[in-house]
Amino acid sequence: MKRYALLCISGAVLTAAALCFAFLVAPRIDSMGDVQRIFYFHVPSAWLSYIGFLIAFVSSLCFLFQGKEKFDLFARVGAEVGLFFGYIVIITGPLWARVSWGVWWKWEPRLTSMAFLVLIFTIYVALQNVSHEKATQKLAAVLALFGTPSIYFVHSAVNRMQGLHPKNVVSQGLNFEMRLALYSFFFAELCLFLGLFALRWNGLKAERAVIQMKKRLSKMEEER
Amino acid sequence: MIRSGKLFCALALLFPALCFASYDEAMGKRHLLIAYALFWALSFAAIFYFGLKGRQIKNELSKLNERLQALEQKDRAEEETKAQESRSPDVKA
Repeated sequence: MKRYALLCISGAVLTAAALCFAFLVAPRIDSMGDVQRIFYFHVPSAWLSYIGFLIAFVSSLCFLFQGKEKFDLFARVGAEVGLFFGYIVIITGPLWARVSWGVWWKWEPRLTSMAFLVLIFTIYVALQNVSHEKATQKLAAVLALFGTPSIYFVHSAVNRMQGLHPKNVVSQGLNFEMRLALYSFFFAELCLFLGLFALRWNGLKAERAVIQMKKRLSKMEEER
Repeated sequence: MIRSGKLFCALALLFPALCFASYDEAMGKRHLLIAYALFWALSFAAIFYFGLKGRQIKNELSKLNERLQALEQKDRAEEETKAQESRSPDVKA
């Protein structure tokens, strides 16, 4: 409970700072207008979705090699939280595109590869919800192993292929105020990520305990 | 805690609205506001959904625990009566 409170307080403070930096301190880019400020929560959401999917990747690998249930749980939580941030990216992106490009969606490399990545992990989560059998868990782990490398394509799509999406500007094209806004939003969203992770982890652990308890009960009733 | 949470939500939603009011041009303001509102709505929905699901599962777990304990007690009681019955013919003999 203390940890949750600490996370809530740090998240609130960071969000307040991020809001100040993003809406008051960071300058407006005249060629794009105010809609460019979507960038400050669109990009950190994409980073956090990558982190979630990478957690799912590493845990799935461990699950396939060691077969321990906790790795499968960890992968599932990583995928679900990563998917949540992936949906934020997919939803906020078209709102920016509508003003900048004049269309909601364009089948260009970055957008298509991100949609593909989100689709893979949507299937992963759906598969994990269908059944709790070992075979399904293994199939989902294999899906995560094949799906996660798409992050590389999503990241490099703007630099290697011609598209409408802006290039990766974080390393060069931002001034100090913009960086401050971006990173403060990243850390605020990281608190949200950790909070959601802890909530889902506890929930899924309890779900597994319920399944085991039901099995034990049905066995006892059969013996009677 | 709940009161401070509500205050935080209100501030998080009100603050950008006040900032927008001070902007000169309307270039993409509406889309920015929609994106920002959706971000918060989705975040709170996720927290609420995960929290609610976790609580439901914990309730189910405690009910199952009670059922298991009741069954175990019943089993123990049956075993005791069986043991008593098996002991009673010896006493008679």
